[in-house]
Amino acid sequence: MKKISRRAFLSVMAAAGAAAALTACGGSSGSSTAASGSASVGGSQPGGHKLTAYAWDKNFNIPALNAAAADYKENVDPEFELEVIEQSGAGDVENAITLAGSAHDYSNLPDIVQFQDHYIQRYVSDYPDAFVPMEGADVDWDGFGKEKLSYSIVDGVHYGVPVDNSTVIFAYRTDLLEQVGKTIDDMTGATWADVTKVGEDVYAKTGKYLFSCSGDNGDLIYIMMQSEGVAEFKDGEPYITENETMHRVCETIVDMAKKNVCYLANSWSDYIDQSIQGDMVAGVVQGNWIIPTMEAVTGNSGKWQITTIPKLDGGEGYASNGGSSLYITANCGNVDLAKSFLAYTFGGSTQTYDNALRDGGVITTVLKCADSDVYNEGVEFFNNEPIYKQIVEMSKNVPIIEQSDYHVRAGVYLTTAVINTINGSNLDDELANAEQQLRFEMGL
Amino acid sequence: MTNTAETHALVQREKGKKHMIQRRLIPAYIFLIIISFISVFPLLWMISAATNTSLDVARGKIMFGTYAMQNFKNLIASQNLAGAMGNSFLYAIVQTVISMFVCSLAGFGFELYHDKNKDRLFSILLLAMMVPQVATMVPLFKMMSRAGLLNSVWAFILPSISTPFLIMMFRQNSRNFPNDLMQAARIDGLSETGIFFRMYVPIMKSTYAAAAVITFMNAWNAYMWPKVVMTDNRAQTMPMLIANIASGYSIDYGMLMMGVLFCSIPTMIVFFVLQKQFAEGITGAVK
Repeated sequence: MKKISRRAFLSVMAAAGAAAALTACGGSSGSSTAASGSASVGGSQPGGHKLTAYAWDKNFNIPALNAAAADYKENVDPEFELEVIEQSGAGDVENAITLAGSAHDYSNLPDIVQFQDHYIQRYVSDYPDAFVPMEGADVDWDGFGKEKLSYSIVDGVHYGVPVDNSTVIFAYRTDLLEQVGKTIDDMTGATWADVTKVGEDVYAKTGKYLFSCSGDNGDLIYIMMQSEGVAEFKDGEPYITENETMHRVCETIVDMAKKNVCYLANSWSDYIDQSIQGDMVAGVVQGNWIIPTMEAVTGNSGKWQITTIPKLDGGEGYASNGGSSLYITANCGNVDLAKSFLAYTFGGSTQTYDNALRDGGVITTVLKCADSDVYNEGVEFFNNEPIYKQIVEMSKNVPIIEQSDYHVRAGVYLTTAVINTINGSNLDDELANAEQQLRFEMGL
Repeated sequence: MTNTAETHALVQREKGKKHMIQRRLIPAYIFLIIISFISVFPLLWMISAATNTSLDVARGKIMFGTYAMQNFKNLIASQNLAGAMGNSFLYAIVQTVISMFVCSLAGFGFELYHDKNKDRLFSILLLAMMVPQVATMVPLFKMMSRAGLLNSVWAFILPSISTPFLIMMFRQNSRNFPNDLMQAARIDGLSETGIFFRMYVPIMKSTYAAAAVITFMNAWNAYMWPKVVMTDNRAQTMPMLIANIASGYSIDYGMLMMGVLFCSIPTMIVFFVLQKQFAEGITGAVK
């Protein structure tokens, strides 16, 4: 009898083990932990003084959030506390929203999330309950750059407050331009054809490409298109084969690549590590968040200057690439505090933006904040020019163009079309193929 | 004299044969050296990168540098290295110990008390291995959330204390467990629980070692599930810390590689310490 009961006990244990395994099937790579009990993460409590926020990049966005928290604590609420929960990238925040939205359970979200501009519209559409609109917040929306703000407006409702300014700069090595008899002023307002000619001379004289772009994304195409005021999409559908500007932009890139003006890097890593930090180029055309990457090459300090983007037919072009904004989640228990914090700080506090620039290199999109002394100081790396003020001024002129959830995929297909054309294919055929693939992916 | 000459000739022939065998092995050795180099090179590069500046790493420098201490200082200044290491150790050890107990008990029961129903249950268990982790993520998250376990130790432990693979491993290796010995122990009055703890556990120690290495590595390297249920900075593990260093517009590759080096050392130590038992356990050896 005794033996039977023990056998039964072990059998039950085997079954229990199996049941537990079935419950957790596939979860073998998940960690089991003995962390220090329950954590304080999640939404805030009504009436409290603490908020939590998801953000990524310890050298860029997180210092900006910390600067804002210090500002709010000093000038508004002495008991205020912001806990920034570091994420490894924008994907972590997107995954957290996707998971919470799919489970219809937002209890694990923080009060505020930082979100990539290009994707927020899709997430607000897919998970409308996940975000709290900024309605009623004391923010002067007219004070922001219009293009930047357009990302966080869904159906006419403001959902977020911008963190950084992602206006594109065209930075040139003035010492290398000098060698071909050019100055930064010659490059301002030039046509892409002029730039190509200068690039050929620079390559012949110095062996360096004029600039580079990553071959695994469509940044350059998007930047050139936006500076022309034309999008890759029209009324929600791909706008490629019928798009004359698109055709001219791609032709120009192919021409520049063939003439060793534009170095087409294999990947993002090659673009950053080899072409920019590897000192292969005399210029950089990218969102201004590229500046810290450029500054890593300290030997070139003082040799750089920035200007606007060329246009196909000449004139100063403006574009914006990358960047993010802050959004209040459905799990926020103290929406009033979250709105007040965002409105006071990123809504237009000079102290927040001055410190965000000093500590993390984050540039404001609030136009009035660029009047501060910090923004008007010369930057040694850029020939003592007040580039931050210049960038904010540029951001006023960035044209608003149609955005799409498929922005990144469009870039991949279009870049593939350009690379194939460089390798000998016909551009029209390649663009038609890109459009067909994109339409298929969009289910059109 | 003749004998001496014959012996000499025999020795020469043997030497010739040996040389021939050795010459035949040269291509194999060359091949193995190349494979070994390919296997070890990433490790060497990781160590050398941890001693260089970010710019040097980006420019492809392979030789060792003198920036190791600065990379280490940058790492501990920007990340909570001690906290992440402590958490990872704690989580991995707790998961390993509990998993060993639960899975070995299940494997023991399935094999040594098997009947048709248990075999059917085991087949269903094996089917569970086919279900990908991401498919269970949302339901598991909902379960943990409804049970109020998010951001607690149980959210981590419960989904991983019993895995089909480990149960299968213990069950398969239990086939070599000497049944006669178990019968003898019963006759001598040892209880079933006693058989498990006093006979099964010591006899199956190679399997335990192999399972421990696998579980420890899985727990140490786990990223996705901890990221879902544990969102507090204080509960950060080493893989999370590495991911954080690797984020952002400008990455410090020297510091990143220093972090990766710290993250790799414990798993390497565990593997090397248990290497012999791991090999025996994988092949199903029973002591």
